[in-house]
Amino acid sequence: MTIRRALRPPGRADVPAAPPVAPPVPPRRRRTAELIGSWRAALRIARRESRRARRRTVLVLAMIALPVLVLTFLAASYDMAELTPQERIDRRLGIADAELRWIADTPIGQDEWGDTWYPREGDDASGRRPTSAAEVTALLHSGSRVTEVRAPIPLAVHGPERDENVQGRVLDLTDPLARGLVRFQAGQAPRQPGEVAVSPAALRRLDLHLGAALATADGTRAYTVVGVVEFPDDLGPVVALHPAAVPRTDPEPNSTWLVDVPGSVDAALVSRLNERGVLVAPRHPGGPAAEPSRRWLGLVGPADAADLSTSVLIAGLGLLEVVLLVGPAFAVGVRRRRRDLALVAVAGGDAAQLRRVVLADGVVLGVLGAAAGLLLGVGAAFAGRPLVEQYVFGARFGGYRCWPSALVLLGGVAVLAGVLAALAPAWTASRQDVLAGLAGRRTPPPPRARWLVLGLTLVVGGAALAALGATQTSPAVILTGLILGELGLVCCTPTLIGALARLGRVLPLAPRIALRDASRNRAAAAPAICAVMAAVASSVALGGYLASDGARDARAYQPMLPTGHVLVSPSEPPRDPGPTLAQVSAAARAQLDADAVAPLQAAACEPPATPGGYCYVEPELPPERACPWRPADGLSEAERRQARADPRCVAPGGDYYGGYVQTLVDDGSALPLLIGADPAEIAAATAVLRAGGAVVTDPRYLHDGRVTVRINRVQGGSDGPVATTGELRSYALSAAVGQPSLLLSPAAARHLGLSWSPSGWVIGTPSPPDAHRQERFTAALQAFGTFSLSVEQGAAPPDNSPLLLLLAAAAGLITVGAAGIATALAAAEGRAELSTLAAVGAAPAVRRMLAICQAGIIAGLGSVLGIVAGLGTAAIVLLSVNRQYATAWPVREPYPFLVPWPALGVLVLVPVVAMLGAGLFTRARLPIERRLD
Amino acid sequence: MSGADDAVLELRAVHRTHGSGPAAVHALRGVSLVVRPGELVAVMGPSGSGKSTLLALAGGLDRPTDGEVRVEGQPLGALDRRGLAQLRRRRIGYIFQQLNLLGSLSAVENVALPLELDGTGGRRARAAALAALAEVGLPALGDRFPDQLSGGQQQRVAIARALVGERRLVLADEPTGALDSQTGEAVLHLLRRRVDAGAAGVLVTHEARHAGWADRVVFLRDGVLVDTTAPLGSVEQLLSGSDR
Repeated sequence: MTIRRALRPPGRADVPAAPPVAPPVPPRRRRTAELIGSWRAALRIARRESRRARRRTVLVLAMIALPVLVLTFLAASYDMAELTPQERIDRRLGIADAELRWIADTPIGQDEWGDTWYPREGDDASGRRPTSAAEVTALLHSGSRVTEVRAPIPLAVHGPERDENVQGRVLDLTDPLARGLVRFQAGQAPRQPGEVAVSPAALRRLDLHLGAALATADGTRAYTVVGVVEFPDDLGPVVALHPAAVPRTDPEPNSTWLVDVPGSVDAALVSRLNERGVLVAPRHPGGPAAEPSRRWLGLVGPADAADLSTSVLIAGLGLLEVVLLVGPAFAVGVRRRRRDLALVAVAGGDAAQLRRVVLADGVVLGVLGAAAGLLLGVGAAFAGRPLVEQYVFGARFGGYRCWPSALVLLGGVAVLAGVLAALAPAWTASRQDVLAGLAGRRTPPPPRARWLVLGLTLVVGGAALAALGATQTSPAVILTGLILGELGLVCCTPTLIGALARLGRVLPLAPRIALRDASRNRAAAAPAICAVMAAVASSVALGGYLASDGARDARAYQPMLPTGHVLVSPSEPPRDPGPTLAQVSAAARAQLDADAVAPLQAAACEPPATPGGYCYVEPELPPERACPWRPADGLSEAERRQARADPRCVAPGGDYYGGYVQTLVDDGSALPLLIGADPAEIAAATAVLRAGGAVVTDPRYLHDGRVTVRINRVQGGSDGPVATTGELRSYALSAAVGQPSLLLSPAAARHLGLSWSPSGWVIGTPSPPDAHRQERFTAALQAFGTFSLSVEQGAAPPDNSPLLLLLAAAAGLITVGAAGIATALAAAEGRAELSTLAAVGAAPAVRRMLAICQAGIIAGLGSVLGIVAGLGTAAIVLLSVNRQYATAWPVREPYPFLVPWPALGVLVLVPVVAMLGAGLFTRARLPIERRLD
Repeated sequence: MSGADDAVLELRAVHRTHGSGPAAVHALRGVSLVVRPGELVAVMGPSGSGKSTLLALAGGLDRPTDGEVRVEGQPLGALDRRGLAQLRRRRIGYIFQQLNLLGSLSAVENVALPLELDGTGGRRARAAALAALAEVGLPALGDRFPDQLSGGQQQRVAIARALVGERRLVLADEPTGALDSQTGEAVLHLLRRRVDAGAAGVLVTHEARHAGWADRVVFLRDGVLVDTTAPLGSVEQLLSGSDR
């Protein structure tokens, strides 16, 4: 051993060498150069790290790419579905030069594409409406050719199981003009009235094939299927009929004409046709300058601003969720690379440069995730296009395109998500103790009081803002409050975990270690817990609101008939002769188990109203019983208070001034089926009707035992109704169930100068008939026309439950995912400790239990916090709204506060599932133990 | 020890205490040391004597509880974290026992890292790094990653990085601890050459054999500098922990 104690003179080395010196950088560019240099190095490190830590990279990429994929798929599909004006016109016209549609008797004006029109002041259109091809051709240049398309035509046909309503289109597919509207798939065009071509969907639904017979539901007509054609604008069941198969009606409301003119359709021709009340959709509307601009991001009208802000905030919540889910992966990455980061610090990296090293991870993975999501999303949209066309949009798309501006925005948001997720870990990395990092020691930062203070401030501020938004019914403000509140809880969570870790001493080994690990690894555990919390809170809050809204709707529900009773109305002008009461009764008894059937007669004016005019009959509310205020009057606070205190202004259903009351003529037979009331009252009311009086369902209309009936006649072209009144001896039902009604006896109607006509039937049944029985009933009456049924179920349909469960399922999925991610990361991080456990003799079951506990802490704590936050949010919002309602007039039904139990049930189970999953997928034995086998 | 105008590193009565109260640990107590250009100083002492703390203070990775540390006359106490980082990337090179290199960067990129962080353009930084690698005898291995290099090669890359640019102070913490004796000697020889070329070096080591490459040996025990020019025999006595 040799120790040289004499100081060597400089330059006396064996082989002196000058140190390599990099050329100096000019000082004024130094800062920029430092920035560029450090980003370059950081991005290089991040790129290589993404390859080295493949599992973590795949995990992060999946979490970033998945939402991008879904949104890209939607954006591209939407863009392809949104036809360009030229595509729209091509689809509308086929190969024709223009489409003509007779709109009005008077001259009209129109936009250049023929999409909108307006009546023009001036003389009536000259001449009569063109109804034949010859008449339409006469309006055009000589040498023009036209073909008529009549669509849609309702068509009821026999199906394999039941009668089906399909759309009929009447057009001559042997004419090239009409043929341009369809894509032929098989067979030929119908050449005679007995032949039809059907769409592929009709082929499937009606179980048809070429040469098969197709009969109408009423059995009056039968056709032979000779062709299969697709209408690109409607992929549903469509039947193309020969023009001679359906006789024209006059007027024919759904008739358009495709025209082929020599040259093009010019402005003069459009103007001439407009003079005749004809709307023109030309192929070339006034040259390229007329091309309407397509939508642009950023060009948003004021009316869309609220929707846009809400959408942006919802997207912000989604972004926050992604950030919280991805954050733990970056946090663990930082922890595993703490020596690398310390080495960068030793090499001269300052805090900002260390942050950049971690942020570069976010940039690289964000860019990769965005690219993967965009590529896969566009690919999926293109590949899945036929299915989306068929089952979602029901129409063929335009060209293959992908809305580039939206995709750029999505890509930018994905990169932003990556950077935001890396932000907190980057901050942690920059504050890391370099010496501890070099020594491989973990130095969990102490919980900082300022974060707790900031978090609590945000929670309180967010809650207040959400409450304010709720009183102003502003979703944007509510969402902003929720986001702030969630961010506040994110800030508080590390402190909470730290506090919980102190409870660990009383727990068994596995949960104790898991709890303390969560506390030591707060940078990873807190975002995962917050991700679960955010998902659960959103689900519970929305679930709470929907449950309350559903209960409120149910409370406000007003049945139109006694429960189970059925109203039958003709869907189209009834055929003559219509069904008799005996025929309806027979069908109702056979198909609906009906107890009783009564005809409904609508009151009508005598003489009938003039063309263009109408007439209506209503009871008149005595002026002293009407509310003296109107909501539109701009009432002061004091007036609103007075209104709330006035019993005339707090009537149920908000009918303060006499609302819509149906007026029927009844001899007492329909009354017990239409109105639900005490039998004694029904008997008394029936007696009044039989005695020639009237019955009302609202006692407010009754004065001195009489009801004033007003008959309003509105003449065509006049400004207001001409009213006459009459008084009738009446009976008022109290607490009646059913639509507000005035029933006139035939004698009373005659007394008022009214006539009546059949408007349908009311059927009494013991219980609401199901859809199948309703179909059988309408089928039994098919020979008399098409009828619609209104069945009183007795309560509002419970339509919230599927949505609530969907919300809960989505939150559950996120919970399991977040718990799985955090547990896997914790397991990877704690491998050394697992080895220690194994070395001291811990059984594999203990290590499995450790993973179960780690998952349980993430999922359980996140769920509990989320449920508390969600219920709190719902309570704040509902209480704020109710508080506002408490002083509002017109009176509004307050929201009851309901706990969404089905959703909570799912969410409580989810942590258990997450724990079981962790136990199932955890390798209990260490690699070294596995090698021993 | 009095101050010296030409000193690259100067510690003046430096104290470093971790914790406070009864739990306080005095890592260094009143240590003073001057290292001049062309001088390699070996620091020896038993585990826990404060060797690594001294090195951390010298490199601006830690701050003294009391006293002053100067690098090329610049008091480190006057610098903020950013200033200290700048000093490290321009003036100070570090070499550790192992795991000196960033696994995701190639050898040349590891060497160029301080220059890049300092804003030197990519090509110029690479050229300087390649020159530094050539100096340590690894001209052809620049594009290899650390896991493709032997331990000795990794340490030579670390030395190249410690001296690339205009650095004048090399701090080596057990640089041969993870190497076999032959490779360790080669690494120390390299370090010696670079110090002889004008740099100043501090070498923390447990082995008296390695301390033989130094111009001066200082010995720390319980945070106190107990000797600065110990003869051969005394060093071995000191290593055994007995007083002189």
